[in-house]
Amino acid sequence: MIQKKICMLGAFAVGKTSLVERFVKSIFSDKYLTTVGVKIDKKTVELDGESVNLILWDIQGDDELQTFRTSYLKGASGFILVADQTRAGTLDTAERLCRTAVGTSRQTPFLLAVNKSDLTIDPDFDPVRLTRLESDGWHIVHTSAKTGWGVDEAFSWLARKLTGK
Amino acid sequence: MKSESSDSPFSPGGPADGSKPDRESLETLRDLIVGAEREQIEDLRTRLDDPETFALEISRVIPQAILLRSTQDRKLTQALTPTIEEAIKSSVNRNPQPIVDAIAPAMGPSIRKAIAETIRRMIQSFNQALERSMSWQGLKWRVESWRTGKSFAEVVMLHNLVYRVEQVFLIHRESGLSLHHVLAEDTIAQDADLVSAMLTAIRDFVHDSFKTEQEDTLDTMEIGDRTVWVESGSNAVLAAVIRGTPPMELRDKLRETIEQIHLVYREKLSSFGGDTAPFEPVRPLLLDCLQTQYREKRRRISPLFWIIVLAVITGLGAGTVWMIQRHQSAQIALDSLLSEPGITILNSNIRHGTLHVSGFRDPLARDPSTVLAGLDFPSDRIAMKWELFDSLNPAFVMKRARHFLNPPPTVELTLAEGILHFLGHAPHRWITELPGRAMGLTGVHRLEWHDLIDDDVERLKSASAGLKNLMICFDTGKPDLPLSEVESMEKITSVLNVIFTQLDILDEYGEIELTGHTDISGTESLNKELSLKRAQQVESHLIDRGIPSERITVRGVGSSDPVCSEDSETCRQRNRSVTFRLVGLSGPLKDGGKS
Ligand SMILES: Nc1nc2c(ncn2[C@@H]2O[C@H](COP(=O)(O)OP(=O)(O)OP(=O)(O)O)[C@@H](O)[C@H]2O)c(=O)[nH]1
Ligand SMILES: [Mg+2]
Repeated sequence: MIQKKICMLGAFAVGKTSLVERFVKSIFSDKYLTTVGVKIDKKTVELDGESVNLILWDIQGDDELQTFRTSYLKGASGFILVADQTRAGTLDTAERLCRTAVGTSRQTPFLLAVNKSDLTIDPDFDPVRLTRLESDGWHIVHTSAKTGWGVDEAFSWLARKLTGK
Repeated sequence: MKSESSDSPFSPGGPADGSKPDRESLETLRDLIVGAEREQIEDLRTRLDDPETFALEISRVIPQAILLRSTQDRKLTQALTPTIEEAIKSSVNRNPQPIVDAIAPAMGPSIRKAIAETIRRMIQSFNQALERSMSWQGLKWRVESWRTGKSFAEVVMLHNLVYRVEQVFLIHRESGLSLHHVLAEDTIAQDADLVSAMLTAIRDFVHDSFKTEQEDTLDTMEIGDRTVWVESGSNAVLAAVIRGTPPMELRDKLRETIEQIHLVYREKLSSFGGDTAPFEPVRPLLLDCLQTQYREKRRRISPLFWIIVLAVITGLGAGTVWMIQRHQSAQIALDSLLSEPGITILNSNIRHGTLHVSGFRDPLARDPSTVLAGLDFPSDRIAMKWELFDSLNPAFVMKRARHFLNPPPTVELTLAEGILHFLGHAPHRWITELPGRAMGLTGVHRLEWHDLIDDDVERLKSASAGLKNLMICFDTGKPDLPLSEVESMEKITSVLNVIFTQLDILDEYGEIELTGHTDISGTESLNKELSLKRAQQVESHLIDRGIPSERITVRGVGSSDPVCSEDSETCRQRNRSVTFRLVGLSGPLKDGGKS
């Protein structure tokens, strides 16, 4: 059995927990219950007939008040950076977290989930910035934890990337 | 080499191309050139060709050669393996003993240990099953299980347990991914992957929060009634979930295990990329950590003992209840005998539910067995001894009186203060026998039968009263019985028969007096004669009809004693007659009196 640790990273309330809930349990709630510390879930995905256990570490949203706990990132095989398209600032946080977690060597696979795509986009959320990031090698998926849009696609892209399939 | 370079003119091609050389001279030349080495070459050939010498040569270098080669690569092992396998096989086939002898010291202890362990577990589980199914404690635990919602097995285990390692996780230290996981029997499995990750997250959190040194990590956690011991190595950690109070030796065991794992899997651990398959073989090592220690059992009294005690108590209880019931039913039987009229109990006791009674019993009383039959009291549980006696109970006195006096239904008996009253009417004969029958009737002091009417006296009285109203009438001046009076004669005869019969019954004497009458016409002397004749006429008729003559007296009163004193034809007719009277009665009947 192949096991992979994946960390969900992003600013607070961008929808990390919601994405995991949607992916693992196919449910969504409008209620906002902020994550304290880390919440761990598991989902087994089939890739070309082989099962892969994804251990999802849903880490509490990053804010300025606390220093980010890097120890949760140890041993992660991949990262999902989450930004909220209704709050432009969350993209900055995602970029900063990418530097912390992935580093400059870019050895660990990661993707950026631009979440809440079912809501109207923040005018300050610059699509050109996304294009620039893509050309910088970022894989970007537009997701909605509410509708389920892009969620499976995001996770399975990363799973394939991790297993080299 | 010097000699070699000087050899060059005699290259192999030389002689072949030149003139045919003389064999001897060639030999001489050879001697000249290589004479010194020739012996050496000869010596070498013998070494190589002679197997003995060759073997001797090789045996000198073999150990070094093997050592040398095996440090270079594994070819030697590969080459030797099939041969060695073959050799072992054939050795075992031929005679297994040497091999057995060789490996026994190594295998023996572990086999013995495994067997002992298996047997110990079997006995233990058997004991526990036995105990929990029967004991009072088992019952308590069932209640506890029901109260707390824990399974019964869990409750039993908690109480019996010193400690038990329920689960062991081997976790990749950095990623928190579960490498392997084992759990004890009957424990509920959690998702090992999640638990491993969470344990790691918690440790990370603690580590971060307290800013501890790298080596100083969280190695004990208390979660509810479970303890988690974590033993970390450089690349992996071993986490044991324990119930109860584990001994420090378990720590040592965990440390040994994780060290051993690191020793064997160092490479695989440091290059771990998510594939857990290579860690499958650690299973026995982890299983070895699933240790359990049960509480030493105090030597206890066997449950069988308590069962027997219980059985005895129950038996005694049931016996007592049974005895009480038997005693009670005997008491009820006794009570009903005591209240039964005609039975007087002098002595009674109840032994083992059997009723022993002795006393008096009136012959007219109900049979005691009949009394008890109505109570469903078994006859084999009563021993009776009765003396017959006459009860003074009024009901019994009456009963006895009826029994002995046998009164006709027309007689009513009443008893008051020992005086037996008779009311109603009865035949003369019964009345006359009464005093004799009543003699010695217990409980009766006196008989009172004045109000008792004698049927036979009554009949006699009414017959004699009827007789007075009867007469035979004659024609004027004639003594002969007129034809018209024949019918009256018949009637008179039957009345007389009744009278004489009753007199016989009453044992009395009496006679019939016939009185002849005339009317007042004519002289008195003639009338007297005529009246006597008339009476005599009736007498002879009665005698003809079977009335005994000695019981008839006749007289003629003429007109001196008329039946009717009126001056009328009807009256005169009634005076020309004969009338009848019962006379000469003896004893009590004299004046129509009573007995
Ligand atoms: N409309 C919409 N709402 C979303 C979506 N994803 C998340 N939300 C809502 O956003 C709020 C925050 O979601 P969470 O998933 O708790 O966010 P989080 O990133 O886990 O937050 P922290 O744990 O505090 O860091 C919740 O009220 C969600 O219902 C989405 O795709 N569409
Ligand atoms: Mg959250």
